[in-house]
Amino acid sequence: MKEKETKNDLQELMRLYILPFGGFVVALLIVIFAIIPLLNETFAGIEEINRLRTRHQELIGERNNRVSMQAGLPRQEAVLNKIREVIPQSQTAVADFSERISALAAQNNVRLQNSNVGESVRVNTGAATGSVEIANLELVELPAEFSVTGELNSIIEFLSSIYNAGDFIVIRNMDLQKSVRSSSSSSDARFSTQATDNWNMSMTLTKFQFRVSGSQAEEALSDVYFGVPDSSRPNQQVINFVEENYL
Amino acid sequence: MAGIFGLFSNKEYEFAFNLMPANTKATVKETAKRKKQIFTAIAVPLAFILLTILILLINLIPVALTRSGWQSAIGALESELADKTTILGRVKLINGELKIKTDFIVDPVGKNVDFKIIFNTVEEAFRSNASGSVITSYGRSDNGQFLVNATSTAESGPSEILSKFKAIEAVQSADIVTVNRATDPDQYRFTIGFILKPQTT
Repeated sequence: MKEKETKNDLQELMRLYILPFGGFVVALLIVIFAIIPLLNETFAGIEEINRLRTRHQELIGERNNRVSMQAGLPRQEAVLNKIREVIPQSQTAVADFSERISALAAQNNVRLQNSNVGESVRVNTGAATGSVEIANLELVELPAEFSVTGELNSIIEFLSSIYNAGDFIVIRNMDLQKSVRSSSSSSDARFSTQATDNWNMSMTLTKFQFRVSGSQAEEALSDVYFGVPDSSRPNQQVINFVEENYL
Repeated sequence: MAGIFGLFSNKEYEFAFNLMPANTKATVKETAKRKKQIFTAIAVPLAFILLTILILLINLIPVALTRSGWQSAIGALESELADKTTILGRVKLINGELKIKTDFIVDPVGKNVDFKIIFNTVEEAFRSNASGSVITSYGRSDNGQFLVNATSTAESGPSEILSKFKAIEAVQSADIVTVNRATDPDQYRFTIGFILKPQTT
């Protein structure tokens, strides 16, 4: 009888306390091991969707940007082709450059005394010019020294013709002096008595060319060009210069 | 069921005689209600939890579908933008090459000047000067600065010419580099350095 009572008590205890408690524990375990991970996964999924949406917006922006850039493509190509022409890549343009200067001197009645071409090469890397860092592209300077004599106006025309010859040649330094045998009695030496005066000029001209250094193929360069962000725009000063002088 | 002899067995005796008073109807009803409450207390939260799991699982399907949709849209856009052979790829390639090359040559371009402009500027600065200043030579230094060497019979020559240079709109900056006084003949030799504004070059 007592055993039965004890059994009943146990059953009652089980029914009243242990079973609800067990249910609570099971529910807690389900919450911890099923609901929370599922919730995390759901939130992570939503977060991922938001991230993807943002990325999609960026890409759409990039695409729209390129579409808008597309309108300027012919102009950019024209400028780039001209730059490729006047600043060639991986070609030696020194001999041709010297001949061109001699021809211009002859055209402008300036006597070319001597020239010293291709003696030294100065290299500017992209980092040096503040450009995007490009390990394998260099701008090579090919300086050439010339000495000429002639009348001042002829020399001015000669210098101007170098600028307007359709090539990119920079007069890096120049020293123009009256020849010692010339005489000047007027106060305005240039415009009154210089018509027949001889002037001597020594100058250093610089021709430029791009060079791909090392063993990297030019294919790698196109990857570098392609890696430039769309937001980076070409230097407008240079674009204007090319358009005004060559196109 | 145990038969008449079963009345005298110990076991039957134990079950045959219940001294506990029988439960009242109310107690039976109360017990049944309590059992039902206990069942409800366990079942309802469990059902709620299971329902939550089900909802979350169902919710994961559209999340996964949406994510997959965005991923494929992004993949398509990325491959379109990364393709160098398309017109959009070509736009990027040209822009990149132009950006890099123009950055490289910006400094030389800044130094490339039509010398006619230089000589015209110098002419303008020396025209009708009161100090009798005369140009003796022209020059350009490696940093791109233009130099004019001149002589003057008056002490005010260098400052007069400098102020004339500074008054010319095309001139960005002008400075006297050197001034010497020669005793025989009594002359002032000076050098003026100047730089033109970029737009005029």
